[in-house]
Amino acid sequence: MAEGLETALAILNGALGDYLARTGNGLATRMQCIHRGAPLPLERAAIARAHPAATARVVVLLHGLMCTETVWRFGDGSPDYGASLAADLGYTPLYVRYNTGLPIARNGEALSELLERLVGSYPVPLEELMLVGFSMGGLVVRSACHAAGAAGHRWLPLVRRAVYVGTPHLGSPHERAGRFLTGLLAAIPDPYTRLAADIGNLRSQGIQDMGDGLGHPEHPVPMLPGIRHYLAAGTLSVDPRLALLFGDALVPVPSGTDGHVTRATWGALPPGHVKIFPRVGHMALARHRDVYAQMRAWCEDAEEEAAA
Amino acid sequence: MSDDAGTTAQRWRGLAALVKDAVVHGASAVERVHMATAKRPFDVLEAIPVVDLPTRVVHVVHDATTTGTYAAVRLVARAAGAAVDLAIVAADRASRAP
Repeated sequence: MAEGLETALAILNGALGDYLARTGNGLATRMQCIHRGAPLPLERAAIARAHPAATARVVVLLHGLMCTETVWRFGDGSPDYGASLAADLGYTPLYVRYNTGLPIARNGEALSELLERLVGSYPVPLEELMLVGFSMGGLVVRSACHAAGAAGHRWLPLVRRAVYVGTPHLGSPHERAGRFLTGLLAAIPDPYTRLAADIGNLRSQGIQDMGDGLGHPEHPVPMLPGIRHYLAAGTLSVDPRLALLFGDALVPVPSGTDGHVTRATWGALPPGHVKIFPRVGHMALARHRDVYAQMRAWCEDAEEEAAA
Repeated sequence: MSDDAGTTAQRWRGLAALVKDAVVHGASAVERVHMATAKRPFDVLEAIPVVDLPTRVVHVVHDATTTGTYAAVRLVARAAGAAVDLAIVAADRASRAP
């Protein structure tokens, strides 16, 4: 299937994915592993065929809103984060594609189920799972860990590290602005502004969930202890005040770092677990050499700590 | 081959359903705006004693005609959607036949 079509479907799913899923529409993307552009069934033989040298360490990569796994691809064709982690540290990369228009919690549950199936069908005994989420993917990772904890899934204790790349942990101001605008338009007693509000409110639940991230006071999803959490955030500007305000253009630095840069203390995460990349925009975070170098360093640090 | 064909057919059916939904929901949304916009001058005229009665008659006829027109648009969209869906299913079955 042409890559352009998959990209168009990813955008459509991001915008209307909850509606597509609710109406049983054939354009709705279901969560699945993708290998070289094609679905990878979670069956022992299929995984062994796709990864003949499957290792006991697996890195699972989740894309962001309106993306597919191609978001990780470097423009110059050099190996992406998954392939680099495979070459440098012996991880087996698995890329997950999903309907980004669904509620984040629902995608978290689906990811938890998918990883549970993976544990049961992986061709060699799994020793470690590493989760890497870009943008919304990071929120899905956090949500999946909680779903796995509640369901008692086997994969959760295998997770040593989770890397959140450009993830709006405290939500996106763009969605909050959109929410305010549609509310304002709906409140004006005019048929045209109400029509505009109705059109705005067609946006998917996945997008609407991005407004609060996982910081909603009624649904707290704290980072689970027992997992090393690493946060990578970007800034377009090197000026500290502008960087704090605009972040990587889509995610402000406080949200990308889960509030750690604005707190007096670093809370649950050591300072070394949070890295800000100046002059790296949101999408570039998913395919940037400096981000990969940091990701590799985090993996090696953790390995050294484990060895000690 | 059959999985790919099945996925392709599913997607064509999905696209047809999405276009049908867009026309049906779009027609309903435009109808609401149309009725609300038309109500404004009717309300003004219906408040004037001399022309209130004929205006009410015109208002009722207008609303009935408008509702009927938009309902026809929705009906045609649903019928066309169902026909396209059947055609895709038939084409998919034909392509899978040995």
